[in-house]
Amino acid sequence: MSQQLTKYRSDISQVFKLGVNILNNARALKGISLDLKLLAVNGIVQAGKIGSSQGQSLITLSGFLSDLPIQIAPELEDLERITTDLARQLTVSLISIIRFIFYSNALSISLDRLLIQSKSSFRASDFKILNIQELTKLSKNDVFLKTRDLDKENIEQIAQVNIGISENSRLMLDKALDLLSKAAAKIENLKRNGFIANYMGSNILIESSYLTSDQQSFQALVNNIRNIVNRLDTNLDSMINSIKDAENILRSVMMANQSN
Amino acid sequence: MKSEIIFESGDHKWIVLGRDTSKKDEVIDTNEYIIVSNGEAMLLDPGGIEIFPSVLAEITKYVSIEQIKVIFASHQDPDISSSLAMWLDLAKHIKIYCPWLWTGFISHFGMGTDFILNPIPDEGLELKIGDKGSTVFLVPAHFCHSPGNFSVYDPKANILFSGDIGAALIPNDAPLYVDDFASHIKYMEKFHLRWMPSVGSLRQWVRRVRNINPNIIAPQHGSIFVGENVHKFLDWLDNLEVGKWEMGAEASDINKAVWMKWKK
Ligand SMILES: [Fe+2]
Ligand SMILES: [Fe+2]
Repeated sequence: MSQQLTKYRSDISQVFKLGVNILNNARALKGISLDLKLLAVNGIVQAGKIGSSQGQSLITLSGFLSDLPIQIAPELEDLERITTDLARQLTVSLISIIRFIFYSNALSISLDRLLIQSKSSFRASDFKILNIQELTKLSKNDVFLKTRDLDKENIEQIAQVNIGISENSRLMLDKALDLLSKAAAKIENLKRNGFIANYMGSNILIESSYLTSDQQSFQALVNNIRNIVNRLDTNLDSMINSIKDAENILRSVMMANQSN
Repeated sequence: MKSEIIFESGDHKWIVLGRDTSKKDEVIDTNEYIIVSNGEAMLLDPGGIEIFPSVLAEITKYVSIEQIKVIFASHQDPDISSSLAMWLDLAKHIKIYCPWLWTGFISHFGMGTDFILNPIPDEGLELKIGDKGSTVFLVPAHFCHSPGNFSVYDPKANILFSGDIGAALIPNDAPLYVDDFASHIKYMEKFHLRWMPSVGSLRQWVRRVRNINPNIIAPQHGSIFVGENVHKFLDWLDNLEVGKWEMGAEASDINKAVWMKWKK
């Protein structure tokens, strides 16, 4: 397989892997959300044990905290749905692009044979056979002036099929790009929720510092919140990175098909 | 990939493709055949998806894609059927025929295309190549290798395409036609003993083929039998005790221990 085809193929496989990573990360978020919920409940229970007015403000803060997972839940569900759609969309696109690659490979073998036959100094690798514009005029290229009609017809036919697949793939990849940006927007929302959780944790820490007893258990609670938010952030950052990588590769793949 | 015309008479010819040196070593070598009859073509066992680009590029030396009217798949194996959707997607007018037993299974190779398969009934079929081409016969070969399996007989060329019957795992430099039958046996024997399940069905197929009496038997793997070697091949098959497999006593004992462990 030629260099341009090999690169194209590995790019597409890479996007597919990124899509699976994003989906797996989205699914892992459910566990994190549950952990946060358990902690918030734990905070309310602890605050309830304190009889003073300080106990009341801690109950309020922990109450805010326990609301967070409830607010996050629909966002998480949306994200999982979007990333599932994304993985499906990428799979469908991948299958179509694999067909494109197989036809391109056949085209490349045929072109090389004809070019060698006609003693041309050009080779298939000199043509941008991934590109729609190039495919459109391929069989009419001057280097094939003396080529048999049969061969030109066959080149034309394979090129036409690939133009069709390429146009179709473009629509599918556009949808994938759209899903990637939707996922990125959801992730930003979730990050904001993580930030709020951390902020609540800091307030709990301040309030509990006035307590004469139970300080340590609130300290532990806040540490746990921070750990969970860190896990959440790591997970979300990894998703954001995968999304950016996937967007970049998809754009360059589409560029290879479309540009002049 | 190499190709050669193995029969030509007027507007009727057979071309064999194979010995693809560009394929990966782990991909089993296959022969693909094209019958071109009065300007219309039929492709027999077109090879798997891995070699699809090479097969397509080689075929276009002889025919235009538009001329390919029929594709025949003798059975369900991936070295035949994994490329079918690619052919149909390339030229939607092509009619693909495969054993009815396998249509639902081969459809898994659809690759997101509109994948229509024409079922061959158990008793076989008379098939015209396009509108202008001659007629070939799809001859039942069930349980000779696959439980849903066909050979193709072309009376005009007196050639029988036998699919995996007569298949041989040969070295790359082996001749296109079997020259010394006795020394060719070693390339076929293991294939037949392992990949052929029924002695009774094999005997029936041999009887059927003796009645047809082709001049050439062309298998999907290995070298081609011509003239005298056709008879030697059929005689050899008639004495072959296929469909037997026994595990050695020692291996059996070892496995028994493993199975008992699984049971716990
Ligand atoms: Fe087979
Ligand atoms: Fe086979």
